[in-house]
Amino acid sequence: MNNLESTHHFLIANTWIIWIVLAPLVGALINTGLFFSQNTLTQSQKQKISAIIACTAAGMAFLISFFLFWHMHSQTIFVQTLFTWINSSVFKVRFALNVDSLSSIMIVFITFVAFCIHVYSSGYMDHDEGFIRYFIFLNLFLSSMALLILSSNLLLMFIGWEGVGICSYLLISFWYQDPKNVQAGEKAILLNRIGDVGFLLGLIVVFSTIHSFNFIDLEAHRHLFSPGLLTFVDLCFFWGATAKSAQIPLYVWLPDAMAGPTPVSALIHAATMVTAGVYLLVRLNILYFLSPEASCVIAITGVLTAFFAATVATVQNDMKKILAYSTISQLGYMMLAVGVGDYASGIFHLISHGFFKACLFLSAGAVMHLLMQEQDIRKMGGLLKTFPLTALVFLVSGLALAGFPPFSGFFSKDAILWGAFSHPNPLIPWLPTALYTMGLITAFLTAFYISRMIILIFWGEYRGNALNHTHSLPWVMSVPMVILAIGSLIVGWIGIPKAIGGKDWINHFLHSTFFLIPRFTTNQDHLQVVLMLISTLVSASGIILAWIRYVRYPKTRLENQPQGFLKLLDHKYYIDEFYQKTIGRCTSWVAGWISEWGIENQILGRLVDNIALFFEKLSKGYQKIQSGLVRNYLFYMILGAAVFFIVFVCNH
Amino acid sequence: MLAIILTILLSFMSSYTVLSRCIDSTGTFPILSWFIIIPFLSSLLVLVFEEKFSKWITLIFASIELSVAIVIFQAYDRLKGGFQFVQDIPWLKNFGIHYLLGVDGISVMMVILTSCVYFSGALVSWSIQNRIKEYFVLFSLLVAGVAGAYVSLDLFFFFLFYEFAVLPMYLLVGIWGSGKKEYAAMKLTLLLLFGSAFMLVGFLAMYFGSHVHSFDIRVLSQISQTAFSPKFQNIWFPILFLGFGVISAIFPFHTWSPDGYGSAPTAASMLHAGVLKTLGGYSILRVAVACMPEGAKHWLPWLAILTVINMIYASLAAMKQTDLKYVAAYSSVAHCGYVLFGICTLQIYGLDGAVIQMFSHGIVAALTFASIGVIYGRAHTRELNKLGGLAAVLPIIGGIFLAGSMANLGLPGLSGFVGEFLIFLGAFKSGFHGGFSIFEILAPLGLLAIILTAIYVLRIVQIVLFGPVKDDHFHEIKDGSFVEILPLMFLLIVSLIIGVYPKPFIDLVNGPVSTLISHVGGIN
Repeated sequence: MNNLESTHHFLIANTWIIWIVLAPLVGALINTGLFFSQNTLTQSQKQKISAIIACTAAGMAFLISFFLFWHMHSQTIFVQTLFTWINSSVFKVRFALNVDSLSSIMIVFITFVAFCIHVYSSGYMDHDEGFIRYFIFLNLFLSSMALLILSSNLLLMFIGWEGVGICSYLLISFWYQDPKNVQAGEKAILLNRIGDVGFLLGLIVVFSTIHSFNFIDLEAHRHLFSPGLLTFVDLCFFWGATAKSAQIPLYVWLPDAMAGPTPVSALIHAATMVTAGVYLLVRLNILYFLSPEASCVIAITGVLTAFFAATVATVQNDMKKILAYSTISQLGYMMLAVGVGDYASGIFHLISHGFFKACLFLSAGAVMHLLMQEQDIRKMGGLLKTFPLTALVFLVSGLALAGFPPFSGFFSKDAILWGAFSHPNPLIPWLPTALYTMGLITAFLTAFYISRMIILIFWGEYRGNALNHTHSLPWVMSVPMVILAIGSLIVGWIGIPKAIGGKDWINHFLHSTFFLIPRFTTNQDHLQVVLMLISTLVSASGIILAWIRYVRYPKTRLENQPQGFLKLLDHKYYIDEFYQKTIGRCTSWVAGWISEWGIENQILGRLVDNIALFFEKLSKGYQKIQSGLVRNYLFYMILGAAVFFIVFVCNH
Repeated sequence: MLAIILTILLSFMSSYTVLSRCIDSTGTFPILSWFIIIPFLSSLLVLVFEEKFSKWITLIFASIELSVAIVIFQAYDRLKGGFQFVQDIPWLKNFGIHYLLGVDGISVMMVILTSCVYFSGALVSWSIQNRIKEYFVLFSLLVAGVAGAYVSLDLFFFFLFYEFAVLPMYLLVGIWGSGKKEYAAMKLTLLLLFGSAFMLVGFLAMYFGSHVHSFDIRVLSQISQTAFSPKFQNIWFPILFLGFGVISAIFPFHTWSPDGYGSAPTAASMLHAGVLKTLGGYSILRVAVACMPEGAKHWLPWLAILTVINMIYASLAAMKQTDLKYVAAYSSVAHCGYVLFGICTLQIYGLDGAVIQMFSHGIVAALTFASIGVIYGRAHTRELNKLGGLAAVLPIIGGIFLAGSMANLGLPGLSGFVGEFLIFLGAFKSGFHGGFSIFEILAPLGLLAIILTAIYVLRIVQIVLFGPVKDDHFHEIKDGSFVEILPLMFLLIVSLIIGVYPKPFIDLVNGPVSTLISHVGGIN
């Protein structure tokens, strides 16, 4: 079963790969020891040590990843097989890690952003009593995420998938004393659990069909899937991805997940974990390529998610909520790319989004840090002069999100839009145009909401009462912000399209992973340039509209309650309430019916008790017979003999 | 603390050295008899010596029992397979009753499970205050009964040992329990005896139904194709299944479980949920399916409906309980549903998964009950509306409770996942690839239980550990002591081992399971 088209790849054994997973795990273990140790160190000394350990662990993971990435050539795959994990007749799963072009670029990106955020966190979480616990969870997360990215088979990937889910749960409800945070964490894990069922179903179907979980076997034996089954498998994994990557209909957990510490939102709920769903689909690219039906569903879901989340983001006032909806919307773009079959652009946007969104969150975190945890943008304003560095970083990453050239978001978003426009759809001919239009409208909304946010925070006059001039950003926070801001500017340049004279490096680099998919080429370079101009205009008009509307906005107007359609948007289309009232209530009702006033007590419980009662009564009846009086016994004896006699006589 | 570590290490190491020598030198060393005798001896010695030695004696013998189990695990020859360490002494020759012991891969798993729970249970019982001597006597007797049932190959002795385990349980719940303990003890014992009535009748039917008049499970399963007519099997299989099913709390005979566990003292719930309950699933495999293959093939798809109800119904019921122990009890019922569901697939992954899940459920349920015991000991309440915010005051115990809950939920990396995944793989395989077509519906329905499990597990984690500290006197609570943490950590590590490296265990199980499958004619 394990024969593969090995002619295409050079497999190079490498014993270092596992250390990308192990380094953060060891870091977490050491910190756990530190957490429980009772020695003479003071709390602040312990905190310092744990921060150094955690950051070193993340840094080591990054260095190894970078080393592998550097030695990655177009057709190499680094492999490391550790041991056989499960072995039950033909069910054989090896604990093996692979680094190919896709996973190498992912892991180098993830460990880099993670390292930056680890460093940032050591400043942001200072003075928090859960400091060490925080770093344990963060390291554990990085370890699971690395496992997810590097695994060579689906089952191992599922372990990483669940691992990041649990770490995300623990970090969302990090400040567990507040029930609101805990509920948010619970919601996240529950919705992810619903998605996991889809993933599990996909795993089972894949295994029943090809008797292997390996990605390589999957590519080699793709013809074993009938078209219908293939679509089914695709949709199962997509179901899993809708939960993890926050797509319609399972996206509702992500806005609530902002209850966690801001660096966590940056790392887990913007840059890395939520993109795992996209990564999964791209990993299985050949399965999606062969099923146009499933791809259509994904493209439509993606673009709808992108659009709806962007509309919600335009009226929110909580800084982190805006960014959360923005993340959902951008993930929708990535799904769109996967759906139209432009996998490289999906990964391209994943990476550039990772940089600028992490940067946005970190700068939002910096603003919160300086303003005593204020998150409401209506209570900010005019902060440009007070925090010039933060404002600059915010502006750079904001422009990247708005898709303004030459920032990274422009190139990656445009690659997706161009992909959506140019890839013909075999099922619905008009779909590419529709997808492109929706994508463009979303781009406009994106530019609008992010500009609104930046303008309300940094322009005009200060409207709050928490300004504290004594604060200043420690270098551990500002340096990662600046690095990520530089990243948000330049990361897009790895994918400058050929139409405007670029090299489109990322497409070339990733090609060895997508070697089964015929290379898509068009010779409509002029059209592409025109579309790029259009999206620049759209982005600019979004920014200008926001400027006109909000730059001279008086304080009083901001407190008005939204009316009509805006109210609908403000309440996020009432989706949360809808789920709560339908599914939530139903489950609760059924459970209540069973345990409180239903089968359990009223029927089964009573039945058992009544049987016992019946025997008790029966024996009480017998007791009366056992009166202890000899004459009664004599009477029974004679009665019995008489009955016996009569029966005997009658029978003869 | 040092004394406890030394006691455990000394008794474990010395007996391990001696036993591994013995088992090397002669192939006939009666190690399985020792496995039964050691807990017996323990209760005997506790009876003889003064009360202050009771727990130490139990701990010593529990450590020895653990070493016996590990020696069996190592010495069992996986390549040869089949029943090993067989010991056959005629007891009532005229009736064909033999004192017949032997283990195959499945029983080896159960032997390890029994010794692990015995060991941790002995440590958990450290804080018993009331009638210490009697408690430890009964505790070890219970283990002896269960151990005997797992290694017996003779139905008569199987039954004998099983009944031997039920009666100490009655007293343990009735005397050392809490709440409405007399009612719970009565209900538990009567329902279990109700099950064993079915078992006994089934055993006798097999005894008289065949020409050989034997209670030997190996013989009965060998001749099953010729000796028992399909009609005979169709009548008696469901009776045996339900008889064993009552032990595993199959719907609708599960009602003893919540009340019983709710009232039982911690170590008794651990033993009951951990090892006695698993006996049901084990004997369905060992006796019912092996001896009546035709009946099994006829009935299992229908009985599978009951097991799915078990999974979903018990998970739903767990969502609304107000007593922490009741949640754990319903969770245990639901997980036994997974085990029985796996057996019903009659497919190799399903059965592998079922055995792994039996083991995992034993460990995880014991872990859950033990940590609830510690929490109860601190907070003096198990009412969910009075608990809250314990993570702040009990970081270690809280962390272990959280990890145990995650194992319960089937998180990969811990033991629960491996079994559940294999079971569902088997169920889908059975449904869509030539097994029982009813699994086309049941398998997706069963997946629903995964979501429901997450709901109730997270609910109690949220209520017990998180949120603001509910009661002011919780602030004075101190975290677990060494004796309390040790058994919890031990169980957690066992769960972790299975989750991270399940291969040796699956290898062990896979041999007998594939023999059984080919004997019954299930699907590979």
